Amino acid sequence: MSFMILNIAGRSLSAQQLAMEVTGNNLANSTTTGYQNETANLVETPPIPSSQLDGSLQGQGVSVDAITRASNAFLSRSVRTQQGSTGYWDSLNTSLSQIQNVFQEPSSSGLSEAMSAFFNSWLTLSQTPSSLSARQAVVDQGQSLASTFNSMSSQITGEIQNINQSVVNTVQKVNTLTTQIAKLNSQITTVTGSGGSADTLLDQRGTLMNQLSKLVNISYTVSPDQSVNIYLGSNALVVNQTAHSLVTSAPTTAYGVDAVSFHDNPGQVLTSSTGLQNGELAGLLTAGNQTLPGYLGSLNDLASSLAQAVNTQQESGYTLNSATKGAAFFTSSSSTTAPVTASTIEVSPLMTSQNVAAASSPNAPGDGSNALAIANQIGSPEMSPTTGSLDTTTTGVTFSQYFTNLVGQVGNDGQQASNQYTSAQATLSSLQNAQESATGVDVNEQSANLIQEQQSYQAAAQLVSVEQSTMVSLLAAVS
Amino acid sequence: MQVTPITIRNSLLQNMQTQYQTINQLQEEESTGQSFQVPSDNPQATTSTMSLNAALTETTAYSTAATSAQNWLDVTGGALQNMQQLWQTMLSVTVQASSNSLTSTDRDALAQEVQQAQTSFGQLLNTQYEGTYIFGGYSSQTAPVPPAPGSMPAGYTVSSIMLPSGTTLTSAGAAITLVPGAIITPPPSSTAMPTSGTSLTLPPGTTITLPSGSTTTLSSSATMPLAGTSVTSAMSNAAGTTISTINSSGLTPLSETVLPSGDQPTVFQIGQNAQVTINLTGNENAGQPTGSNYLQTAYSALGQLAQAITGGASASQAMLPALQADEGYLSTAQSIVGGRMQRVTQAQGQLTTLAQNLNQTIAQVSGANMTAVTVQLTQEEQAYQAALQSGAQILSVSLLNYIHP
Repeated sequence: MSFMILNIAGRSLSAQQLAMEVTGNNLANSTTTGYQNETANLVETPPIPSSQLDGSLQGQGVSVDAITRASNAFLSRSVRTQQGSTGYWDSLNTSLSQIQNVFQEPSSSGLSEAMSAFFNSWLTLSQTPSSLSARQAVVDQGQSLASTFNSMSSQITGEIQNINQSVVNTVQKVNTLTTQIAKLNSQITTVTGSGGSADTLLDQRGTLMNQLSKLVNISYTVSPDQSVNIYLGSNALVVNQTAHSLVTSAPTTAYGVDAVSFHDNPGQVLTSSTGLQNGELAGLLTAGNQTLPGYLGSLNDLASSLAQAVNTQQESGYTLNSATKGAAFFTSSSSTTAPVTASTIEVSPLMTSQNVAAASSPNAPGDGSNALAIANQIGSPEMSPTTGSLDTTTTGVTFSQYFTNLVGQVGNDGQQASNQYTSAQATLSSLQNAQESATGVDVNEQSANLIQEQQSYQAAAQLVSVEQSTMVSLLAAVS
Repeated sequence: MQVTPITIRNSLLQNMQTQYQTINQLQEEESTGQSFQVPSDNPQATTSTMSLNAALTETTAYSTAATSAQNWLDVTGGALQNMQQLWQTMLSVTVQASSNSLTSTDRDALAQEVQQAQTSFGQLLNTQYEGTYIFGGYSSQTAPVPPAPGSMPAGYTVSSIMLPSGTTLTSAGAAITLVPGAIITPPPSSTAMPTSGTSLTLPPGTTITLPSGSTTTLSSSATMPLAGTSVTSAMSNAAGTTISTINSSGLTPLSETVLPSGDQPTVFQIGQNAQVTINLTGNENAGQPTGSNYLQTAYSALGQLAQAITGGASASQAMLPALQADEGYLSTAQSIVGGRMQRVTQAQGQLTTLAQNLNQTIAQVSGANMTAVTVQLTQEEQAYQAALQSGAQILSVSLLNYIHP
């Protein structure tokens, strides 16, 4: 009889104690973001040759070999890739859903209504060409149309500025995250180099990488020393303990947001062709450099063509009861020679009710045929649907059709972004669930483990008690 | 697959978020009655509704124009009807005046009636609609017949009179006295009234009554002293005088009417490709000789009739064919107005039907189906409550609840 049994019980007690601690830690972190389930790997203590039976090995109980952290590199990568896609559609969807309110049609205060009201005022004028109130109505409706253009333009420009602010903030966030990841790389290398476990640090870095992957599309490689190198396209964001920061510079286009490039390589502006294809930053750049400026461009084309068509007709007519030809109705508020845009369109400050050219003949106060010609512009092809320039041939569309197309485009873009975001979110969610399923903490599983471990612990304790009573009876027998 | 609390939490939150969005959408539909709020909710319905709205606005504008055109034509038709009635009276007056049994007093009375009728005709030509002279063409702010000649106040004596070249007067040497009722066109304002001793230009159409006797022919336009010549009212008929009209001596009669000389159409757009001319200028083809204005002709004819009646039975009778021709023009004009009116009424009927159809289509495209929305909203609410309740219960339970050491 030896005390081997106490050794076995002692090992078991400490191993089960440790296992319970790991289970307890898992349960405590069951809702911690980024926490990956840990397992106490119980192994049989290497057996030793039996002292009683030659040639036989005798078990020595249980011990904890290691505490391992659940991980699934494939799912981690999938989640991070999907984070980028979700981030892209998220930011695009946010930008586009805000712009929907600018194009809130059909509405009584919308541009469509303002255009109808403007041309209808010319129709009314054509019926009562000498009426000063009908003439004033034309001027008033023109002003209302111009201010609708102005306010839409300024709302879109304002939205582009908001996006620009988000671009700057996102770049700062990316820089903060890459700096933190570089620091963690350094700490992880130190810990693993000294043979320690860097699980907590790895969890932290994983969380930061998840956050980063939402902002920009990243690819990464893990080195044997557990440090990670992160790339954006072909450019490195983090290499070992060094972070490469991004910078913003003045926009490259007239209506656009700041350009983003690497601090080390300011000449190469980040676009989809230079590697920035996904993530919130890519979404913001798409919205701020392409989508919204596109809408603004179309709106400018509409304002410019409408002003040009009305001006041409107005200039061919005669003002009230005179032989004076009409002057331009719409002018640019920036200067008399500047082209009219949605932001600068205004009714000429010189336009009075008398100066509205309703007549096609001189000195004919009762002639409203020129006003009728302008009123009829609403129903006739005036603009090219593709180039936005004046086109009165059969390939052209009317002003309201052009605007309707624009609203349709805004709506379709918004709907697409919203749908894509929803589906990207759903995919991300299912991937996260899969990852969570592979690496997360299942409370029920841990509870079952806890019961098992508790029972094993109780059994080991019982073993000590049995050994003790055996020893007591033996000592009593020999005393 | 292992399900963890985070999995349950994520799924629960995502599902509830989706439910919440649906409820929000349904709530908006119910409160606005629109199936979409912003273009991205339903781009196709948005653009359809916009196009339909544009068509509706256009239709409404055309409908307003058609109503306005109808009013114009009503007013024009009314004026023409009055003219025709007046013409009937004038025809019977002419027939009456063609009788040899009338005394000169009777003739004067008839001529005065005709002159009143001419004034009325002038007033009809001056008919206004919404501040516009409907027979004035493009000169919509100028009365086709300038304001009615004013009457010369009593007590004015003119010492000299300026007559145009070629005027023949049957007597000279008498004082010209303007008596009450004398017609002066345009009417001098009371401050501009000629005082004794100044020259007065008598307007065209003025009839001067002179005592019988000598004949004076002016060799040029000049101020002719006619001391004592009496210029009475147009119809003055002192015994032993001869009436001589200046009309026959080189003055253009009735040149004061300023009816348009050419087509000056006021065109109303009452459909995308439908235009209607709603005014008459007297130059439309109503059967009159080319280049003449039938309203002008009719107005002049009344002036000539007044003179013809005082001229005698045969002169009166000679006017009859011209008056009958004028009557024909007026009734043709009336039928032109009738034809236009019919077109406008027809267009208006079509526009009303179109507007109703458009409204209905807009309601179908953009309106929310309230019954469906309400039922769906109730269902969603119940599902949402169920999700909240089950989520709260499931999240709070795990195997730990059943471990009793």
